[in-house]
This record gives sequence, C-alpha cells and structure tokens, in this order.
Amino acid sequence: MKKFLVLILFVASVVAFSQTVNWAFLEEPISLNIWDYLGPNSTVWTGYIMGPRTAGLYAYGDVRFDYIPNLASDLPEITQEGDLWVYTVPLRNDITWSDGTKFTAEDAAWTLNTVLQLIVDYGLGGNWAGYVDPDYFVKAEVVDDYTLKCYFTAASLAKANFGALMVPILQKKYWAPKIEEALKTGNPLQTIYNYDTSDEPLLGSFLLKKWEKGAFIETYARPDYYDRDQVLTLYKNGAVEITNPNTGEKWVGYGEATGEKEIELTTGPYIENIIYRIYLNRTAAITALINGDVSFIFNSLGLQKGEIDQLKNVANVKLISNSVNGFRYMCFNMRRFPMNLKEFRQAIAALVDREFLTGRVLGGQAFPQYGVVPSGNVFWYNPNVEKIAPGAGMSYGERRQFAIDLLKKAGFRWVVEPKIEGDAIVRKGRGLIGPDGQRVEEVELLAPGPGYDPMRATMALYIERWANEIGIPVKANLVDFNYIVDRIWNEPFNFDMYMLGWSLGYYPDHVSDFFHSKRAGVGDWNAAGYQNPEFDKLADEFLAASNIEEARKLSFKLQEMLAEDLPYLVLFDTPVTEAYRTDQIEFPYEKTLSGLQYVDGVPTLVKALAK
Amino acid sequence: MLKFLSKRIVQIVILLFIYVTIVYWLMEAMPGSFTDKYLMNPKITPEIRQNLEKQFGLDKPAFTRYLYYMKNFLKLDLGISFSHFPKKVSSLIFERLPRTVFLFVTATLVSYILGYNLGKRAAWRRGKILDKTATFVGIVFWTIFLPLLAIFNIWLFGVILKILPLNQFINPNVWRGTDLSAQNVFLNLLLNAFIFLVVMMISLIFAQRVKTVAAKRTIVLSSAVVTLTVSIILWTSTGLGIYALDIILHMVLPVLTLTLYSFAGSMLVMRDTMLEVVREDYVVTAKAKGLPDRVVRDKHAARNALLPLITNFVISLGFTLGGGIITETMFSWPGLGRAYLEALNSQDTPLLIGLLVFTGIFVLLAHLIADVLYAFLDPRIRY
Repeated sequence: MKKFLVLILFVASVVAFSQTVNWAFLEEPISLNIWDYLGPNSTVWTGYIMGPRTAGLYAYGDVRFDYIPNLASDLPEITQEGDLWVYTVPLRNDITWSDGTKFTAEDAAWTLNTVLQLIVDYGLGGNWAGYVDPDYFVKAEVVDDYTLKCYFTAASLAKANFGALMVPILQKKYWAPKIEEALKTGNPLQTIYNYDTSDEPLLGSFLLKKWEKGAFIETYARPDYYDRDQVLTLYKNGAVEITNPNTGEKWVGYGEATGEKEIELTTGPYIENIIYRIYLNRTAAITALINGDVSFIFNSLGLQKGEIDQLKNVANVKLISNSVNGFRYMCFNMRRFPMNLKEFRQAIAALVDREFLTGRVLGGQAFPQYGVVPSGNVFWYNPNVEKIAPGAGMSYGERRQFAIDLLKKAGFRWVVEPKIEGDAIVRKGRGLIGPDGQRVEEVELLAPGPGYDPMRATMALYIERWANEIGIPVKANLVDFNYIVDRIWNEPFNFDMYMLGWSLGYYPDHVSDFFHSKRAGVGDWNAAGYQNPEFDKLADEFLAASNIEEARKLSFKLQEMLAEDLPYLVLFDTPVTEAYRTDQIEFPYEKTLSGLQYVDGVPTLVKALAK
Repeated sequence: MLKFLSKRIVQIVILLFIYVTIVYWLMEAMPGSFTDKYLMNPKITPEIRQNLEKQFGLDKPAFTRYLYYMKNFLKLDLGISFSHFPKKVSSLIFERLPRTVFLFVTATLVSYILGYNLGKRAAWRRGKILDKTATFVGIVFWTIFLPLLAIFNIWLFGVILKILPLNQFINPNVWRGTDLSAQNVFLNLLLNAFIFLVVMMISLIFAQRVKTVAAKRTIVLSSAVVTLTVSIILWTSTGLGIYALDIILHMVLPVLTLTLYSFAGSMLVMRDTMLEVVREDYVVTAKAKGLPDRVVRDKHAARNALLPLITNFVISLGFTLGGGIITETMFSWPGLGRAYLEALNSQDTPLLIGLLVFTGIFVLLAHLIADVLYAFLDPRIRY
C-alpha cells in the first residue's frame, strides 16, 4: 500500500511540475528508424516525430522558409573541377550528437555516400532517392573535420542545395557497423529497416523517452542542445541573421541585416517534454482539446467546418487558419482530341469561375488557386498567372461568350450554336464539331466521389453543367480514387480529363517533374502528355540554376507558360485550420504555410504556460 | 465422438483453404495497390516506384503471389505487412491481440451474463413490467447507432460527470514514468483472468459433489473471494496495481457501451427459449411438487434453456478476436478491429488477409467447440 501511495505521489508531482505539453495525433507513427521512414514507410505522423529528431546541412528557416545553413556554417561555395561541379560546405564546429560526440564532416560524407550506394546497388527508394539523385550526385569527400566537398554532375539548386545538401545526417560511428553487417545479409534493406534505433545518437533537439504502442510517444528536450539561445532574425528587406551568443556563431544572408525586423525568434527548447497522445478519431481529439487533455491537434487535413463551429466558442481555444502548399487541379489528356487543342482547354478554363465555386458554392471553405505553384508559397509564386487565367474578371455571360469565341477561333462549330445574351443562355449549344469536321464525342471527366472529396465532386458537376450549356459534351464521372489512379498511371493514360490534387515541397521543381516532355512516359508524372520544347529548355535551365534569383525568374516564366498552355487547370485548395489552447501553450507565430503542424508544432520555440 | 471430431476437423481444414483463397482473391480484386500512395509524391519516379514494388513482391503476377502466400500459409507464415514494412503480419496481430481479447471478451461476458439474467427473469414474469421494460430498453439499445451511443457515453461520463476517462486505453501521465509496457500488463491481466476462470471451474466441479445448497454456495463464493483477494494483493505488492487499475478504468466505458448495445441479443434468445421450456411437463411437475419459484426457475427451467445461449456465446467468442472497428475507433483502443480499418485504408493486403484468416480460424474453431459442447451439455445429443 505504501508503495502504491508513493507511486501516486510521484505521478502527481511529475504531472504538476514538469513543463510538458500534450499534443494529439490521429494516427500512430510507424517507425522511428530513419531508413524506414524515408524509405517505404513515410507518413506525416512519423514525420512530425522525426522532424525534431533530425538535422541536415541546410534547412528552411521559420516563417518565410528561407534556405539557411543548419549544420553548415555558410552557404556552399560552387566551383567546377573538370566535368564535375563541386559544392564546398563549411561546417559548424559547435555541434554535438546526443551521445556527446562531436559532429564532423566524416558523418556528413558517410551519410551521403552510403545513401547513394544503397540507392544504386540495392534500390533504396522512397524519399531517400528524392534527396540524393544518382544522376546528379557523384560523391562526398572530407577535406578536414569541418569542411565537406560534394561532387555533382551539374550545378543545380534542385538536386544539390534543395536535394542532397538537405538530407538528414546520420552518425557514422553508430550506423557504419550496422550497415556493413546488413550488407552481408540476404536482404540488406529489410535488415536496415528492421534495426531498433532507440539508442541512436541524434542531432535533433528532442529525443525519444518512451513509446507506448497504441497510446502515446513521449520525447524530451536535449539539455545539451547546441542551438539553444540561437537568435534567428528575419528582416523586412529579406535579410536573414543567425546568431548564437553561447557559441559565437553568426551568419547573415540575403542582404544586409539592417532595417525593420519582420520577426525575431530565440531558440529554446522551452519545454522539457512532449507527449504525443494517439486518438483514433477526430471527435476524441477535439473532446480532449476542449477538456484540456491536449494543447494542440496535429491533423494534416485541418479541421472541418462542423469542428470549427464546435470550437469557435470554446474558452481558451484559438483557431488559426493558413493557406496550404498544394492545389487541386484538372488535367487534360493532350494525347487525345479535343484536349490536344489549346483553345479547347482555354475554353473549359474560361467557363470555370473559381471565385464563384469557392466563395458561393463551397461557402468559402476553399480558396481559388491559379498556378502550378501555390499562392501560399509566396517567394516562388508568380501572381501574374491570375491575370493570364482565361476569363479572369469576366461575368457569367462574358465567360461563356469568351469560351464560344475561343472554340470558334480554333475552327469548332455546332449543329446548334449556343447563344448568349447578357448573363443568360438563350440557346444551349448541341453537337460540337471539331476543326477537322470530326464530331466531338463525350469527354469524360474523372473526379473523386463525394465520399472521398465532396468539393472536387461538386466542382466536377458544375464544370459538366457549364460545358454542356455551350455544347461541350463533358460527362463528370465521380468514381473511387484508386480507379482514377489506375486509369491514369496503370492502364495507362486511359482518360480524357481527371481531377486530383497535389501536396508539394517549397522548392518548385515539381513544375519540371509534372510537365517536362521526358517525364511523359508510362507511369511518370507528365500525365497530361505536355510536349513543349521551349518549356523543356527553360525547365532544364531552371533545374540547373545555381542562383536562387535566377531560378525564381525562370520559375515565373514556366508558370506563365503553363497558365497559357493549360495542361493543368489549377482550381482551388482548402486552407488548413488548426486549434490550440491559449491557456496552456504559446506559439511564437501563427502564420505559416500549411499550418503549425507543417513545422512539427515548432517544438524548440513553443512555450508552456504556467497553470 | 472421435469419428465426428475427425470428420469436422477435415471439413474445417478444407473450409479454411477455400476461405483463404476467397479472401486472397477478393483483396486482389480491389482497385489500386499499396504503392499507389507513392503516386502522390512527385519526388518518387517510376523507377523508384518499381523498386518499391519489387521490395513488396508486387512485381510478380497475382497468381504467383497467391501460390507464394499459400506456401507460406502452410508454414504458418502470414507474410510481411506493407504499411509496417518489413514487420511480420503475425507480430502485428500479436501486438494488438491482448488489447482486443481483454476488451471484447470482457464485454461479451458481461453482456451474456446480463442477457441471461434478464432473459430468464423476463420470461418467468412474462407480460409483467420487468419483461416489458427489459425488452423495450434492450431493443432500443440494440437498434441504436453504435457510434452515437459511444459519443453519448463519452460525453456523459467523461465530459459532463467526469467520472470516467475519455479515451485511449491508458493515461499517459500514469505510464510515462515507468519502463513497464502496457502489453505486459495486458498479458498479466489475461493470465489473471484465465487463472480465475480455472479456479472457478474447479470450485464448480467440487460444488457439485457437496449436498447442501449453502455448502455449494460457500465453495463457489469463497473461491471467488480468495482468488480475487490474492490477485489484488499480488498486483499491489508488485507495484503493477496502479497500471492494471488504469487499464480497467479505461475499459469501463467501452465495456458499458458494448454491453448496452448487445445484451438484448442474448436476453431475447434466453427469454424465448425459457418461454418454451416453462411449458414443459417437468417444470409443471417441479412447481406441483411445491418447490420454491426461484429453484424451479433457476435449476429446472433456466438450465435447460441455457443451451442455445452457450453455443451462441462460444461462437461469438470466436468473432470477438476480430475486434470491433467502431468501438476501437471511438474509444481510441487500437486493437485488431482498428488494424482491419488501417489495412483496408492503406491497401495493406497481406495484413488484411492475415487478419481475416486469423479471425476465420478462430470462428471455425469456435464452431467446433460449440458442437462438442452441445454433446456435453445435452445428454440427448450424441454424434
């Protein structure tokens, strides 16, 4: 009995005095083995835990997502040696692993070379190959303890700066013997994925304390975290300054660190522990938030309307809304008639009134998107694409008339030509005939059903109606998500038009992935079959750019080209709404692309409030 | 009996193979595959996707995969899960099994005990207030939408009255300071329940041998009290008591919800059978002999009416191993039911097939046990 009471007292004191925050998860992470996580088992839930555990040579800064040095002490210096491009990376000398060992260039070189070897020789897949592209990355070499040289076949922001140089660095001392041992087994990758890594030395700020399967994961802040007290200052002129009073480290980039400050953030961690509580349904997590059991809910899809209404009036619960780094779109199969005609695609685009659909039909639950780079990704987004969009700023009737004119311009005619007067359709169109005299047969628009995504289903039905009004025989087919995927990539390209969505990274190299003609093969990403030599040339230049400003200009041109040619008709996305308890925690900022969960809940900056 | 048993076992084995085959091809017929999720990541090229498909064995034709599966199945290997790659399906099942067994067997037991008691009383007082109330309440709960009942109970007992934990199967604040795993406590609780069951069965056998009712009652009650006391002492002295108590506290709401939802089934079976039995001559004779009402009801009528209920119970025990998707989701109790849902959502076919096969085996076994029990419980039945 005495033991029992002592235990209760201990538990009560732990709860009362430690700076612990409780966060709600809706699914359990799968594995904390980084090889597995960045290999076949990448889920957002695992990512939320892995984020604060790992570190790369470079990282994205808070709020603006500037590309900043992390384990490196400065941006890489690029030179050419023969056919190869060399990125020389100076490393910080004030960084230690969680076991007290110094971080050196040996760790970084070993990680990069091992990942490359596992990709080339053993087919290591998943996100590893997204970081280290064997067509570009050649090798990494140690110059001295704090200087690293990385060799690439071409200079490329996408493949070097935002690729290999951002890969999470692993400790050579810990992993080298394990990998060697695994390579001797019959299935090296499975052996590597199966390693228990609970004792792995890490570079991140939070380490695993306990994982109670199915219930919770607890992490604790490293008392010796090297970035503690580091100050990140973002200036309104675009400059970034990083200073650490403890180690004397200082870095300034993207201009002079003068003028008005946008934000100043001092790194903690200010909390001792994080408990990620696993709730298997949204209602349970929301009830836990209302009850005060958790301070913040991680949910990559954001809160739904009913949940927002429920939480709106709850005391001490604050709702925050952010735009997301993704879009939902409609793709035209440009291999088929009439989608291969630019005017046809533009006519469809002219009919689609995004503002009406998002604002009126979807009740403001979504916001319009215009280009293949989401508007929330401010640095890379070209605002001109909004003006290029066919039908921009036109009324209902004007849009229809414009679409008819576009079709006529391309040589289309009708058995019964549609007639528009003001905003009214006086006569519906019927029997659309192509420029070659060929009758336009039914054009199928594949879209996910209302069970999967009611917004896309609604949009598809509206597009069908609007197209039919002017005689374009579009038929919306609301089907299972997997069925669409099968029709596009497995059958392959057995579609006219489809509607799906993308979640994206910050660096917009997806523009090349989605539309370069070399990616138009079976199972590859250019499902539209977009072929434009001019675009390909610019996309290649964009991938090879080694200067961010130059890359930005090229990206803007690419976006404009796509807004004109319309292999994709980008439609909309939904903002991500999150909720947290203001009486329990304080976030240093709330405005951030894709929400606070996208930055793992900023564990090194969040503060627990005294109860 | 032996001939019957061997015949039934052969039937079960054949049935099992047909079942596995049907389950396998049903899963194969689903559109899409696990690797489709990589289609949403523009960084994963077709080559990388092919590599991943190769790792999962999806590069081989479906029939070849089926042959591999059956070969492994014969070696009791259920394969490797896709969504928890490269974890074995069997290890995932055994990780979640104790949580499911403990919750659903308890709920089934409580539900059947309640159903038995209410059913026999309702039939004995047919048309009276107890009969009408129990039937009405039972039917109301039986037809209610289970998630709604779960939410209502969570809201009432967890949010408004604050007397029961809201969700999850443990309280992280209690468990974070210990190296102990909940899995161990679940296994110990199951062991404890098993020992309790064995002790009670032995005491019942002993109780049959004594003559007076008082002595019988003393043996059964004292066995129960002693076993429970020893269990509590052991749990407390080892320091595990607080953890077991935490699990039991978290179990109250789901068990209550499941019991409310399902007791009507067993109650109505018991009531209907009792109504048949009370019309039998031997019950009339027992009443005519002047035996007390309670003795006639419990010893003469209820015992004979129990047979369908017991077989029903044994078969439903087989199904309990499949867990319950709704209950586990609503109460954040990740067991096998939840594993079904996760496997289905992620198209983890090996896990899904493994779970269905695992449940199927136990349902078939439960049927066999029910057949055998029939012969034991009813002397009129001979195979």
